[in-house]
Amino acid sequence: MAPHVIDLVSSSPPLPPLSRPAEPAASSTATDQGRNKHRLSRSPELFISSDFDVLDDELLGQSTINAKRLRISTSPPPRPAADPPRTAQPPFLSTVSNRPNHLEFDPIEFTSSIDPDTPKAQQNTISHSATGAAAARPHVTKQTAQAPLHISLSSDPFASSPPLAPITNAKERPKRSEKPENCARTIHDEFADAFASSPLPPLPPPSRESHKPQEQATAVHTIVDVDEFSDPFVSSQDVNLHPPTKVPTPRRAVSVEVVDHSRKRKHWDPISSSAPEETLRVSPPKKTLAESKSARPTVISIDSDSADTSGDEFPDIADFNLSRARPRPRSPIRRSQSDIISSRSRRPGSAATATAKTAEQRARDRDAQAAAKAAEKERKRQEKEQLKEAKALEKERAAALAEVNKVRTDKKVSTPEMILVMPSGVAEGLRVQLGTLLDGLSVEHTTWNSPVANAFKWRRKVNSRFDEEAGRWEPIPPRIMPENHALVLLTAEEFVGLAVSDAVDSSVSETKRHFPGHELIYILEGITPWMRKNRNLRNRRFAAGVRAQDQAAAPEAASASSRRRRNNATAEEYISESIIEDAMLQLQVEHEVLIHHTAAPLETAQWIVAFTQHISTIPYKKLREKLTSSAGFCMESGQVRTGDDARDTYVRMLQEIARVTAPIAYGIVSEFDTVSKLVMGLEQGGPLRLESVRKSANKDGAVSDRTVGQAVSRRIHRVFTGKDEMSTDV
Amino acid sequence: MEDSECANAQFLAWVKEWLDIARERNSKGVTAYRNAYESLKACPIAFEHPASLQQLKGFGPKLCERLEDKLKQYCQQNGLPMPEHPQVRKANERAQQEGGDAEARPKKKTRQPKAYVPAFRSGAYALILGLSHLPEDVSSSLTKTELIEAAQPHCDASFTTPVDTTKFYTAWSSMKTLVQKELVYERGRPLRRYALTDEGWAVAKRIKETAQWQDENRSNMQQGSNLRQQPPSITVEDEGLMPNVYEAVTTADEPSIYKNIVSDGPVVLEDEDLPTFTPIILSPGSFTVHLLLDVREVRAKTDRDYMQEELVKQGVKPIMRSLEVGDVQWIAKCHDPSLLSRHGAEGDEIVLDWIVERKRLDDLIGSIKDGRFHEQKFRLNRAGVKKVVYLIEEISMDSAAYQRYEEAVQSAIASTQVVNGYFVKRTQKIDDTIKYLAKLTAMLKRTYEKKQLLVIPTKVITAQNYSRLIQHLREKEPSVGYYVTYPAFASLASKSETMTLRDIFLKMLMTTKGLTGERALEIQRRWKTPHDFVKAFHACGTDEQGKKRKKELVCSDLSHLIGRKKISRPLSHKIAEVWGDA
Repeated sequence: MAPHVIDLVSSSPPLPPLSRPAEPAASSTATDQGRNKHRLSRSPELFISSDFDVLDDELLGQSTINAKRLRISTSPPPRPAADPPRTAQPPFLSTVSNRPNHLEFDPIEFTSSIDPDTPKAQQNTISHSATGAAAARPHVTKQTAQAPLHISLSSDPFASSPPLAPITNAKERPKRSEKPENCARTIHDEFADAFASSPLPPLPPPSRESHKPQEQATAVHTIVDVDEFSDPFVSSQDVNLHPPTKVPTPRRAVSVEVVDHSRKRKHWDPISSSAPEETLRVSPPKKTLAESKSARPTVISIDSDSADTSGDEFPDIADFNLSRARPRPRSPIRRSQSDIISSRSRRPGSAATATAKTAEQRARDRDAQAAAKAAEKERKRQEKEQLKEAKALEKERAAALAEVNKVRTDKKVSTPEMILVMPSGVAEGLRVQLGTLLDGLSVEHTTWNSPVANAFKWRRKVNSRFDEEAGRWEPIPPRIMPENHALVLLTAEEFVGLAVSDAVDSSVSETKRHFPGHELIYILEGITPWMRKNRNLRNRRFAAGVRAQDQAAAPEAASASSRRRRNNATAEEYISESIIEDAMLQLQVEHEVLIHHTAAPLETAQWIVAFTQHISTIPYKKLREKLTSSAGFCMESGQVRTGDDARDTYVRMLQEIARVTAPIAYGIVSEFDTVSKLVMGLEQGGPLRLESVRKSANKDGAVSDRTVGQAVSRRIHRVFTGKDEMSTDV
Repeated sequence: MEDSECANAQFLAWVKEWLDIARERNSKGVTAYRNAYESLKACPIAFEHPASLQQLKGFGPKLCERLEDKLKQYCQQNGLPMPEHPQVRKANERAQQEGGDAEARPKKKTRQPKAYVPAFRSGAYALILGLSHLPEDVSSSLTKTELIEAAQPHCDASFTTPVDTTKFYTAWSSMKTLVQKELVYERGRPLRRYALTDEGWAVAKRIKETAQWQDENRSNMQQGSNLRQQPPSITVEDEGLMPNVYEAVTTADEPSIYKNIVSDGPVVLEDEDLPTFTPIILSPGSFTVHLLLDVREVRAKTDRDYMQEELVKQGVKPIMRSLEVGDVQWIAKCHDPSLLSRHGAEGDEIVLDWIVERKRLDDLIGSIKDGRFHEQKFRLNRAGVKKVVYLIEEISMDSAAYQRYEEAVQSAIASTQVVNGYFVKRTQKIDDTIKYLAKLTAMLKRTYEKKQLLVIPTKVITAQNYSRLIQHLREKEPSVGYYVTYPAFASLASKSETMTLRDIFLKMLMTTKGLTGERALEIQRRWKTPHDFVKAFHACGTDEQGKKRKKELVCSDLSHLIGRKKISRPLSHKIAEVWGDA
């Protein structure tokens, strides 16, 4: 599909430049503003090219809209006959409904991931339109109209594609004029050509290309105008292809054509080819007149319309445009293109080319009326849109709220929030191991120049904040917050060095100074092996000492062994274990740090990861602790066994009462099969009602000869009839 | 992996054969065969001779012997040469090598084995030194018990108690070696007596010449003499101790005697509601720090006093008590027993910030499995103690059983450290635990006995305000420590264990799947007791409409809830099914 899309795009470019000449220079600014307006007011649900403009640089939100649009647009064919107003509704609804869904999937993307998403969305829409075009082939006019639209759109993303289009268009025009009857077919063919030619884009004339970059923006503007010019086309297209989405266009266009469209639509839909042909036929004469003033009026009117539609606020500018528009000379290429456009736009009035003025006046009258209507519609539409937007926002908020309120006390859920910050001096092996383990848990990691040797710290990606009053998490813009834990990695040798030189105090104080208010974790790597080595050393010395005395008589042998030992001795000194143990206790008691021992770098990595995982759950676990702190027991999941069905739940519920065992519970359940019957029975029978109830021998209700007994009967009675919640006599 | 892909396919096939036979016969050997089968199957190294299989888990000499027989048979049948026994082969190789380069390495051949020297502070070392206390004449000797008493101070390991309950050997096992090496001779029946041989005396003397022995002995002489003066029976040293133990034992199953020392008081929600008080000040020197040991902390059922005796040996006299929370705790005991009561507190003991929860690794796994782990941490948390040490004793466990829970244990330890902020100390055996406790006690003595203690008068504390009060004080004056008396602490702790009707109702609610603690709390806020709740369902009526009302009762009455407290319609239906017959 992708290549086709491109083709369409490539073929389409000619139009935008064409429209330009017709437009006054000022118009561009007007339209510019108008466009802005479009952006604001007219949004998602319009399937018209202008929307695409919006898309380009719009918020992420639009991407979702696009997705929606896709769906809508593909479906349209069956609905063409529907009245514009009515048809108008469905799209709104659909968009609304779609939006939240999408949001639910990835609310975060919505806010942040704009860049990657939008391009895709665009492509989609384009490709979609291409499919639409393909589907709508019978309506040639539509297609042509559509093509430009897309082109304009596409022009932004695919800067290079436009050049080809003018050529194809030029070809098309003549053909059409020659055989108006067959137009639909031929055009269709040409489209096919266009597709074929699409690969050509590289050919574009150099001048064009030079234009391109500068004009891109303007091209976009022109597109808007083009829409309005080509309203017939657009509308036709809309009607046929995308009836629901189409509605907005007439409103926007405001022009005479609105009425026509509705009529035309009816024509067109059943008779696919006739309507377009007419318009086409009209266009050729215009072409010849392209530079004549008669052509202008229509253009002008359109402009004004566009002004109206795009923004009632800028009528002056629109007028200005009108006056200015004519004198403007344009580059030949553009002119030719503009001609084509104008011819198209003029279609309705083509029969009365001689009486141009009357046509113009009439057109103006109609315009005025239409403008009023359009304004009204626009207002309504805006209201609806606002409403819809509010709804969508609401849903989006709800979705985001649901997302941030997901249970995150499970470390698997909360771990990806973490970022581990490693000291830049960390050993390569450990770094690699940590990286692998963390990547497996999708935890980000970076490095920093820690002021203390081998100090790790954590950061958290925060996207919600707990609202105490509402008792729930509220989404907030994502940010990265520092965590309250820091970890210092010391090897046994380093630690022993500190302990022996009595530098533990100063080292910890130094660390604390760099991490004020942090919980410190010290990982001591290899203390156990070190202890073993140290002990061995002592034992070797001892054995040597014993033997040395024995061998006082045989000095040669002793000298050999002692020589060897002396080498070792110079290298290592036995260090009293109590020095190390005292240093560790000092760390624990005086400095209040957590100490963890590991044996090897791999284990160190595993533990750092384990700490990362558990640190990620801290805020959520603490919160839950706080929320359930009013209960007198631990509410952690798994503390109370749950039942499988109502009866099982009932049995387990009874067993929550002190000294009620499973046999007692089953015995009671076979006597009173529901809670309410039990309560009734206890109310009527008094505290000893259950005394003689038989305990159950198995789950099926077989009874043993033992009974529940007085104490338990009384206790159950108190639980089920007690009115004092703080009573401890249960 | 297929059996045929195993590195030792032939051996595996035989083991499998036996396993299948054992299975058929339903014999008890199935487990042994299965262990052998699985370990052999997993082993990537190919073995030539069955004797080498002994290094694998699940293979003992008997099984290897049987395999060897099988192999012999097999070789004969197939006319293959029987592979050499690995030891024989090694010996041959050695002989060959030495024969080959006898000239090249003459030194090695002539080198004599070193004289036997027992490892420092090992069992053998201690036994030799213990026996060396005897006069050096032929007639004197020691019985086993006498010798152990004399030798124990010189040894790190215990002569009477295995390292953990899964092991049977003690430091006494070294006696076998000593007898074998002829350093000690034994005589006499039925009661054996031990003495040093001449060789043994020589070794003992040499040991005493070493710097290591002299270092040790300086401290040991004092400790040793102490020990002789006060044998490890605590009754003699501490008159106050025994009564305490009895008291604890008699009251073990009863509600705590301290229970009603602290009143419940009204619910405290705001810091403003917290009481103001003038703390009782204990100046340094007016008290000493002591270790409290829970009477239930035993090494084994058959060895109840081990910890207490060993602590005494380490110079720490524990006070035995039935503790409400934790296993070890430290208190400051006033020299003047009436000091506290004069100022509005009771007893003469102040609870310090430290508490130890001791867990053997197998207990830890058990408590993780059944959820007690969370419950215990919850109670420790409730007790309001600032410093919790979670002491994990790593007794040797079946590695297969341990592996299954290794991750759970790791996770539990990590979360205990970073989430609960407890200090996790891992020790290898109970002796290490005792050593650690003794060192910690000494450290706490040094730390606290030079500070002044501020005591909160018991009358201002209630069960409801305690944790908030403590938290508030810690936040307000983090550098100053406030403490409560032991009776008050015990009372609060025992209260935290008592369940109110409300708690039971909450638990009953939580037996319904999906009814989390937060939701149960909301339901309980609306309907105070089980009775209220059932009556609310009654009031809905029994007809169709009533049923519908029942089903919607909870979710419509609590519709204001949001977030995690929100009660969904299906959950409401479920609750109605259980509580309202709907």
